[in-house]
Amino acid sequence: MAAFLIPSYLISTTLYGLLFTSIYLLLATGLTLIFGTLKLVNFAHGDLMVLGAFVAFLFVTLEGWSPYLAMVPAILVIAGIGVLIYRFTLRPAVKAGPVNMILLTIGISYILENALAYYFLPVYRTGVEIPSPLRGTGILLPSNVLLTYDEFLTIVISWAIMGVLYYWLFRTRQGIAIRALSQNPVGASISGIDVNRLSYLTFIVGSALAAIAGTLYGIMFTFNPFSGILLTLMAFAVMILGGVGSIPGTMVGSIIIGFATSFVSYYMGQTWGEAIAFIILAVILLVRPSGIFRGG
Amino acid sequence: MSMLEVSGVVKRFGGLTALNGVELSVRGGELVGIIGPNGAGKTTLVNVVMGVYYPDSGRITFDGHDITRMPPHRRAKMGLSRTYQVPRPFNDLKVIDNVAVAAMYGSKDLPVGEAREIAEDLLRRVRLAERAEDYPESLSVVELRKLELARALAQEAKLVFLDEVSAGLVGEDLREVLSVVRELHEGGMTIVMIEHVMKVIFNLAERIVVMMNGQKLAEGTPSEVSSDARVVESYLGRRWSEV
Amino acid sequence: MSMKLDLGSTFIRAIAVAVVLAIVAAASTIMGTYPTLIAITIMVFFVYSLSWSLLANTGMVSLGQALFFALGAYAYGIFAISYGMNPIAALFVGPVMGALAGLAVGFISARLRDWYVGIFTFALTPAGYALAVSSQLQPWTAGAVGLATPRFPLGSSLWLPFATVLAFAAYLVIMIIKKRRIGYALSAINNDETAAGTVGINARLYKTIVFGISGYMAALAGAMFVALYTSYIAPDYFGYPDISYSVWPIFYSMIGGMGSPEGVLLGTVLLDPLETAIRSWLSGISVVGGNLALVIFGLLLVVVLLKAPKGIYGYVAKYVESRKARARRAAEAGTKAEVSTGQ
Ligand SMILES: Nc1ncnc2c1ncn2[C@@H]1O[C@H](COP(=O)(O)OP(=O)(O)O)[C@@H](O)[C@H]1O
Ligand SMILES: [Mg+2]
Repeated sequence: MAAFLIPSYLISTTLYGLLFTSIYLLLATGLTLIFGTLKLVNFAHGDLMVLGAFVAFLFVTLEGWSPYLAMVPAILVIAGIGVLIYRFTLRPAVKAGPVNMILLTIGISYILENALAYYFLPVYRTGVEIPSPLRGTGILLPSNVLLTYDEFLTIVISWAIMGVLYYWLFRTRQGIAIRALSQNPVGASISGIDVNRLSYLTFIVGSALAAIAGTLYGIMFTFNPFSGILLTLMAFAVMILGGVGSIPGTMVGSIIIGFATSFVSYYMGQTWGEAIAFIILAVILLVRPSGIFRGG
Repeated sequence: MSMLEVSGVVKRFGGLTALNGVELSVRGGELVGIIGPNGAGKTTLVNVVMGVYYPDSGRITFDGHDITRMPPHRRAKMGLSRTYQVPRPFNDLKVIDNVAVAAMYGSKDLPVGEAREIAEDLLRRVRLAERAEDYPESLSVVELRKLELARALAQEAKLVFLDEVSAGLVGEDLREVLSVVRELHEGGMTIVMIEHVMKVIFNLAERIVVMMNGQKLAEGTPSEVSSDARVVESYLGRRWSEV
Repeated sequence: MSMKLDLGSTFIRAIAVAVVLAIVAAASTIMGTYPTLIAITIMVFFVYSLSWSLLANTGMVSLGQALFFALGAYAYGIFAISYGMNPIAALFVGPVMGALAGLAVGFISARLRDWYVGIFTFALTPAGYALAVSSQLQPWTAGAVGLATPRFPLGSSLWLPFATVLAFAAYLVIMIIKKRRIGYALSAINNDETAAGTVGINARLYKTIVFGISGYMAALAGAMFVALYTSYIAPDYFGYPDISYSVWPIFYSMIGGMGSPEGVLLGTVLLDPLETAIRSWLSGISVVGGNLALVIFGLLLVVVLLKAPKGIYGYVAKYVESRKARARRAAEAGTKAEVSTGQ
């Protein structure tokens, strides 16, 4: 029988697909929000996520916090770093044009990665995971597949946060203002919205989402200072697939990329699992080079 | 047989219909004026003819060929050129090379040296020769408009669209630009001249098309148009003092 | 008249570049083996950075230039090892793979708007890495272990002169492109693609061609790097997972001044040895000193992008240009004065 038809494989790949989807969703929504509102292509987004994972890791291993509680300092620290980056590099560079902005975020990514490596490598050598007291325990699904409590919590937390985010974006004045800003910055500023404040708010929310995604990712998978680049790319793949700037589209993109990653990893190995997102991305760019931009 | 034939062209931007079934026919050698208030769709019409956007529906033919969905550079090769109402110079190229590059690639493929000679000549004609070695960033708005004109002419096109080239020009500059246009016309070039106000083309154009809300409102000789009741009522009447 | 002036200044610029390259080569040869090796990397990264800036000056920001660099390195190694090609021939034939990849990537990139080119090229590097380490290609690439290449069949005292000649050739290629019709088209495309189309330039075609040329140059740099410097090919040449190989040409070009090949030369000649020096100094202090060096470089890039977006050379050129303009205006004023007194 073909491997993909074995029920236990099918169930666990689906499970992993759901996990990837949840984490990509948090990450890519932050990226999309920042792009939509600030028109900023942030190549350091995945690095903020990894940095968040590392902050949580420190609180868990050095202070003995629960990993889910350690998410809080991770959010605070990353949101703070995000604001500093925005205030002192990206914001002053807006007039330098989109190309310089991209290169700037690449430079920032490079700084974050190597700064983290400087601290990380001598102590932790290769990769680390955030230790969780729940490890190994869980709910037994059919065909002997274990859904660990960590996995279960990751999925629940991600979607709960997405629920809150959706409520905020679609039901509150502030959220609606942010969406207005992302659709038409000029109109938004005319209609009395405080663009400056909302820009900061967007960067804070986007960075916080990255920190949450990072912590959850770190509980489940190993990471190292250079994991950020792949995560940034995944988030971009999701964002472009879903239609740039579109929040609901991001969800569709996350599901496609999440499940593709999981299934291909399972059957062709992890390297191809990672590459598949970019193969999808390349095909999308080939088929609808401009349409994606406008279509979202 | 007309040189340019625009029929039933519709162009929407989201909910806004910028062109709503426009008809335009231009014969070889003609000088046609298009006037209309701001937002009438004049520039959009040029953009659609030049291939900056493809229309949502309708058909455009040039020299008997359907060009509705032809890429812009091929339209240039067929002999279409234009100026941009809001100047779009190539900022990394000197003024002379801005014009030369249009001569190199326009309707003919010319080598660098020959193209630069043509450019020098054109810059002299639009009274911009002394800025030849400068970069466009240092040019005034009036100079940028003259650069637009020189660049469009360098292509040695059969039909050129002039999108409000005279805007902002006064005195000697205005006279000079208008005399360049007249000379070109006398030399046999087909010209579509877009103006926001009528007085500039009243004495120049053989035929005037009035646009309004993405449609053709009226068409005829300058005197016919200026006495057309609808035009006077909806456009000229209100703005007669300006015209 | 202006033509002659331009030709003259082009000639002078080329001479100046030749002199700088020769000085770098000669001085490092006198200084010893290690500086000679550094000088070889300068030549390699000059070629590599030129390949990046050629794209950037056509409005395409490649964030995955290492794809071509690594392809060149691998093609060189595989041609020389698996197919027994003479390494000197492989050095020039291998990069054809880079050119082909460049044409393919360019075909797509030419249809993408601004930053999509960056993300697209960026996204290709993990795919390249995945191919290099895949079990299917293992027999040729040796997977994650990497490939050791045979000794380059030239006396080792000739390696640096050879690299220097190639670097100068790459510079000439860029200058020739700049001075020909195509160069004007590329500038126009870079400044305003829509207006370029209006004047009859086929932007997609030119962008694709430029990507092909850039792919060849980057791949040549990769092949030179292996043939004349490392004798070893690793999958991380794809700029993945560490993005360094894709970022270096950006550093050198942007900090030096990507607008002109001389700026790129300036960036490479200043920064490549500086990086090596800082890196070896910091590595002496700590095992992760190299990472600290890269943090410093990242900061340098950020500062330059914020404070001097056109790089060091852009600063200098602007100064010279403004002086020339002043002199010209003064001369004009003089002529006018003469005319008016003559009346
Ligand atoms: N690229 C565009 N996107 C959205 N709306 C546009 C665009 N170009 C033109 N418009 C709109 O189309 C209408 C016609 O504009 P235009 O053709 O520039 O008018 P005119 O040149 O007659 O002043 C205007 O309402 C303008 O705002
Ligand atoms: Mg207009």
